Amino acid sequence: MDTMLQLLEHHHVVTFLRAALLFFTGLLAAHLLARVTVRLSKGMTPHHQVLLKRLVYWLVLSLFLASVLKELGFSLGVLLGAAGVLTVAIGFASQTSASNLISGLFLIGEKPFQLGDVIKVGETTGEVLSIDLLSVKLRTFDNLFVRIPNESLIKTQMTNLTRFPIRRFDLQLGVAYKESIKQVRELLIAVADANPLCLDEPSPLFVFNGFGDSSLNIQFSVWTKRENFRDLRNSLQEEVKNAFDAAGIEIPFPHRSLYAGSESAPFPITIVAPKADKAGDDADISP
Amino acid sequence: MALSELQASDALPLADWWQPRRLSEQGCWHIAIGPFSLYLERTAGEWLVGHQRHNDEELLHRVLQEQLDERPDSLTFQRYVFRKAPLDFRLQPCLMDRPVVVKTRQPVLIPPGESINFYISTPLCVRLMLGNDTPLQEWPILRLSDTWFGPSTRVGELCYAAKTHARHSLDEVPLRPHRAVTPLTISNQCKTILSIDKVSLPVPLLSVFERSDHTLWTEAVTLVHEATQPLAKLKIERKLPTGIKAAQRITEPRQQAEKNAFVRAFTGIFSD
Repeated sequence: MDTMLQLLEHHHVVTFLRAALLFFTGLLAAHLLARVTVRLSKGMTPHHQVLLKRLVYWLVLSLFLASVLKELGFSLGVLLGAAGVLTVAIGFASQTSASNLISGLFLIGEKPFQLGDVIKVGETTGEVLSIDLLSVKLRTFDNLFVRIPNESLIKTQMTNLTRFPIRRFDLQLGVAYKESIKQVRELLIAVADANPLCLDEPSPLFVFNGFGDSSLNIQFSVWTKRENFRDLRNSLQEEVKNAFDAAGIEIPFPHRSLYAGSESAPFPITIVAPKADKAGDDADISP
Repeated sequence: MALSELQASDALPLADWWQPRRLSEQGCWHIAIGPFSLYLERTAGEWLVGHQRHNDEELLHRVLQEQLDERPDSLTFQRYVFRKAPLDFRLQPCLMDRPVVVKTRQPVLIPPGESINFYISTPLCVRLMLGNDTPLQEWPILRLSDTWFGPSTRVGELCYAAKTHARHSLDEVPLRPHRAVTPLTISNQCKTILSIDKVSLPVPLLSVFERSDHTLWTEAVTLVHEATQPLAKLKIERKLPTGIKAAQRITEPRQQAEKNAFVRAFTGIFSD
């Protein structure tokens, strides 16, 4: 019993209690200040708000932790020195994380995308769920969670699909050599005009790309609201096909011409009359 | 209030199609406003609502109501369920939810200090209100094409593209049941000539009024082009067009215009 009393009266216990009190006060203060910061920073983007909140939280907490250590009798100078040596060791060990961290800071400063944007990195396309110091988290459209390290985001090409409110859809198509380009152009423009998803201005663009192996190659570009991009792609291609079918315009398959050289005789070909009882499926062949 | 009951009629009695009406009889009713057809059916506990648009040019002027033997099978009907279905309904004409871009017939050049008057008719939306003005659904009468209005593909706003042109004289404006007419004045207070080939009319800021001849109108609008401004100054005139009183307002604007509002009204002449 005596020993217990002695222990309680001992200086260390009081110090320890004070340090614990200081620590919990620190936790509380960090929480409150972080909340106040979020309230004060209403004009910022949600992403910056979250970052600022974390920064304030850890800053306040680390100040209180330093006081706790001092209260417990540690000499901060010695601790910081030890921390310096440790930092070098940890730095070597965690090169990747450090590089991701620095890349993350650059990404945050450069702001190439925001939360909720749809971005394409390499083969992955998805909605940005969070931008953290080490990585960016995406949700792909088949509902997979993808984590992309910031370092690779900084190094590779990244496309933001939702930065601007309108997008262009490029329809590549070929028509047979016998078709009139003028008629095709008028038909395509009429199809775009009739489709309400297709923007009136910037007007649709018709580009004659040249003479292909088996077709005249055409690019037809139409603009749409970015939310309607997929709907436009589906409806426009279907309507173009229907309009071409109605107007009798041919979209050719790749052709191959066989040529046996100028000196050789032509291929011997015999025309066979279709049998009367057979369904007239056999094509007439002429040299 | 004694409401006129929905009865089969010719074109004329429904000319003011925005009046409140009562649907006491059973069966499916067809209400046509220009190219838009609305099908309503009321039972003790629900309202069934279906709609359809026609492309036929001849149907553009009709306003009619008729009772059908049965619901058209080809349409999908929305089912609204009530404890006791209200008897009364009202179709409210409202303007589109985005500005409408109208082309002038030819490019117009306005010298400094001059102004020009246009009459622009824009297609309306129909809002179905039941009982004590509970909005059920809203449909644009014509499906207008989207368009981008701005100096580049990065700067600008999404609008609707109207197929009709801005007219100089009121006689040229077709007064149709599904369109509202806006008198527009464009004034050039800049020292250079203002060239316009299309105008964006900020219809979400305007109200709809009824004139005694059952045509629909909005407030008169003035757009002022000033030298230093990339945007035009918008003035919604307090003085209503001739033959219209403030009491004939049917629909409030979707958005309240700020005092000294600036809108993106002309394009191609600024680079911002």
